[in-house]
Amino acid sequence: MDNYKNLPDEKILELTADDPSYFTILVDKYQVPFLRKALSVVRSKEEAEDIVQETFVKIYKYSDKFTKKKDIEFKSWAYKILMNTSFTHYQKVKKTSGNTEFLDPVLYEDLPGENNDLDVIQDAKAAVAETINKMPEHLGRVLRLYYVEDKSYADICKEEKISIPTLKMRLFRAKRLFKKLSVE
Amino acid sequence: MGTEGIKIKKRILIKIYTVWFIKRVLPLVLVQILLLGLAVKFFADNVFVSKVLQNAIHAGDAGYLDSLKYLGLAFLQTNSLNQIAILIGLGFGALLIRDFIRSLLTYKTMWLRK
Repeated sequence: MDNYKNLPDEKILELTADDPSYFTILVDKYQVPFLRKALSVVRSKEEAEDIVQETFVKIYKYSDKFTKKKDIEFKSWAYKILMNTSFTHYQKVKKTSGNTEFLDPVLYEDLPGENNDLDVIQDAKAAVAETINKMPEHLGRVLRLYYVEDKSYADICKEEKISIPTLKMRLFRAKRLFKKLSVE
Repeated sequence: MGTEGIKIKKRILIKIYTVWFIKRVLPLVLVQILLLGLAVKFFADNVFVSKVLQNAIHAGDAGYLDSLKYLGLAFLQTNSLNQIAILIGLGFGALLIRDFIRSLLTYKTMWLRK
């Protein structure tokens, strides 16, 4: 049974289609980090727990859609679902408290002081667009395609006429630069 | 993982199991029940079941083996449509039992797998 722990997450997710007991491995691995991440968005323990539960259910429900996107890592896909779910909850909470604040999860992730300054961020999209504009064109473009337009590695590689490793490196550099520029 | 974490994990796994059951098992089971029901109805419309069972009991006065032998012969001598209905009924009955056991085992494994 321990052998399954060495399998990549993508493979485990594939196995869960026929035997959901394999999902336990993913829950064990991601429950705590997910909870921490969700807590950083909604800052309410109960809400964060609901978000984590909902995220895992969504991951399982849409696992067949994930397996079709071979070039995407499970971790990043799962975190995207988590962040989207977190923000949906966040927006609901804000709405019920009479103060609606819409934020894009990806934008939120990349802003400085991401976990503490959520309430003071008024126009995250504009801030991100401004930061991207400051970046070299090729870096800004891949960042926008991947995070804002939600395109897959394969699509971006095709569009940019580059290989996947090059794209990964470009994204890495772009994110690093983005963080640096956001702080300035 | 603390007690709170284990509680959440349990809730997550129950939800996952429910999704799996609704998505993967329930549709199959419903189809199996429907086909089994149709096979049983067809069989009951064409065969006087209680009479067959009474005869099987009489034939089995000497032992269970004779009862089984009688049922086997009765199966062979009935018309082919009834034979097909019996085979379909037995087949889907076996599949239903298999799915029931599979669901129970999967539920049990969910808590055992680490």
